[in-house]
Amino acid sequence: MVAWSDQERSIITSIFSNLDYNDVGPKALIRCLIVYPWTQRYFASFGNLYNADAIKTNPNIQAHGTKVLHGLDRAVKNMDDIKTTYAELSVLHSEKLHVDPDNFKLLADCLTIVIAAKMGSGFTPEIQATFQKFLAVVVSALGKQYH
Amino acid sequence: MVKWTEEERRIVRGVWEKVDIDEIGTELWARALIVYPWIERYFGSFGDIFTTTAIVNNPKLAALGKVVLSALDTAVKNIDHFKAMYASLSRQHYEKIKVDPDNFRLLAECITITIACKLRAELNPQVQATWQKFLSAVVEAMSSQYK
Repeated sequence: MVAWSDQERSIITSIFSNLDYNDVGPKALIRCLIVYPWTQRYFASFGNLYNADAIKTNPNIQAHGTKVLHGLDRAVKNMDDIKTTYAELSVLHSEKLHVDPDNFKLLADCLTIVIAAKMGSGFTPEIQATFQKFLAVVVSALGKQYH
Repeated sequence: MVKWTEEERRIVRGVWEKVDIDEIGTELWARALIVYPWIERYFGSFGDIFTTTAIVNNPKLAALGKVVLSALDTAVKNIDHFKAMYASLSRQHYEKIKVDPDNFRLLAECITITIACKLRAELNPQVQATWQKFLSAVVEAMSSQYK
């Protein structure tokens, strides 16, 4: 089981309590779709994704980005058992959505860049290390029910 | 061979112009050594590299930061044929320093995050995509002499 120090818990809750989920969620998802274009394959039913501007203004992408951040919020509130918290989500992504689990890491990387750009020099190496540890646990939990 | 559009060349140069070599040279090591601590194995003779303060004040790391960024500068200025120029660097890292080439990718990620903290909203999705394409080419060039 993953162990969290008090400092790490405080860093993660502090980062998330300062986020506007409606802003950061869509930004991370949009970035992922532009930087790693093959991820667009999962959003074929979302409408126009033909270019960066279309992606940035697509309301379905906006809504989904926000949804993803609210999903992350559940992990923040259950840091000691993210694996169990995400069991159903993992099954959903594996059996229904058929998402290649490698893509979880790509979205996590894009979220890291969004947070880095937001926090600027406040995104210190120690904070980066803690944030990446948190996202690594999330990514692992999402992949746990794949077989 | 990697192909670059005029737009991509402009973007890479534009990002690079905003990089302060002295400032970023130590920050990238701080991120790499704190976030991926196993990298410490390559710096046995560098003295204290175990806290952010020690890292940013370490003269050997500062000097090495300048060396790395000056090599990146060569790649920016010779974007069409730096792979050949990097052959001896690659051989040195393979035969003499014995660096696991996966670490080139980790260092590249730390460089991107350092730049994201500095450039913030300017590192928009399209700029990030182009910058990462450039760094992937650099990582590939650094790995080219490994067998």
